[in-house]
Amino acid sequence: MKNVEELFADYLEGKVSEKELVSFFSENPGSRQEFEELKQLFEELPEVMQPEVSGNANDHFYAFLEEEKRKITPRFRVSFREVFRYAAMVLAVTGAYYFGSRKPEKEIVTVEKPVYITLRDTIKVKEEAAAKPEPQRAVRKQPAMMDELADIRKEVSQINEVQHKMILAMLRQESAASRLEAINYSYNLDAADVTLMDALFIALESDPSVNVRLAALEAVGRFELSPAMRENLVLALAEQRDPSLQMALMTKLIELREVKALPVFTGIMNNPDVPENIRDRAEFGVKVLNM
Amino acid sequence: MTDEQAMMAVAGGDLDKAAVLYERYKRPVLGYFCRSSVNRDHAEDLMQQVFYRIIHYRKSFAESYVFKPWLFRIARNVFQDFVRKNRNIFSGLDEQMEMEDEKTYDHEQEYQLKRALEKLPQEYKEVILLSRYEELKYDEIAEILQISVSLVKVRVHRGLKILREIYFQME
Repeated sequence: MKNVEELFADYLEGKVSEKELVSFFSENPGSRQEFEELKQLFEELPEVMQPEVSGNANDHFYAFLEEEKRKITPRFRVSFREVFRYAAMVLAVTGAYYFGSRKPEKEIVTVEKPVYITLRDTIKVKEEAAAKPEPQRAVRKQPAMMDELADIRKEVSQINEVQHKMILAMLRQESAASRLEAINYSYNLDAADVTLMDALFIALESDPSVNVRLAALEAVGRFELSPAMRENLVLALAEQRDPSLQMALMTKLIELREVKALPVFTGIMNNPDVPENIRDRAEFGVKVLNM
Repeated sequence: MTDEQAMMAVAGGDLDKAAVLYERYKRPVLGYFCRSSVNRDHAEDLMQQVFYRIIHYRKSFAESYVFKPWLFRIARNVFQDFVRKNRNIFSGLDEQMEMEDEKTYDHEQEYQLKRALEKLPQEYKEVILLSRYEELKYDEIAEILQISVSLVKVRVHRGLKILREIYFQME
């Protein structure tokens, strides 16, 4: 059986049944009065409102948090920049070695051989010249140039591939600063593959940081957008609640003249919970898209 | 997002989630220090130290931990460090705090009970504060104080008995 201390503590936590209590006091009648008094005292302990934290304390905390974020950010930045640099260096060295080690194509002798005095020799030279005509030289040099162009294209493609992979890897980083950096790297690309575009749209729709979402929108807007991608922008506008992102999305959709966004614009325009400047922008968008 | 998920994210480097935890717990932690007889200015400093430590020692948070007891264990360590370093400053209540407190309570009985609670020896006071005001379970309090659950229960009971005596003496 429990002692009175344990029974009392358990009672305060709601772990003692009425039956157990009655049974205990029937066997320990002397402890009942003390039990009741302590119970009353515990219940009478003053309720205390949780104190408010001063704005100064909040400012200190958030300044500290920003400082801590800055401290860990450079590690990622340096790391990825290094990787980029090394990747580029490896490709450059490989390319240089590859081109440098290639022997030049054998020049085809095109110089007319001296014409000898004898008629027989003259005939022989002419026959050789006929066998190796001038056009043949061009035909033989062209494949070499084509190979080199193909190699360069391959190299560029490899660099692009490395950049794509690095950006995708950085977009998966937990630090918002790294994800922002990844998006900034995407500005080096002239075109984005489907995977990268998907990743940018995922960042736009669901990244926890508003700054990353805004940057992703800007990055996405640089590339040519397919109809499906435009629809993704409309869906993002329907989902997002951050005013700065709503504003940026509406601006982009107005710029694209995306009429499929009209219902979403109308919904925002008529939503009293949305800030006034956002509703005004939506109203402007409705006008423009209806033109 | 649960407290534990947020803290695991912080431990993984997503420091933005520390702001979520700060907003959830800044007032309970500040209240813990205020109720532990620390004046308001010092209580805010200590509250900030708790969150600084959470961020500094974020990698020590393991997936199996429950956040709230872990947080209050840090708060208790901060409090103990403060008491050790500031025995002169920390001498129970200062006059200013007493005057502020008096204004806060409408009923004399409530005020006297609070005063009695402040005079309670620390080992009893902390279990009552954690149980009554932070609504922590006995096993969580045991984890914070690094004592057995049975001892927590004993301290709750004895603490209230002593509190009653102090209260009647004050009356």
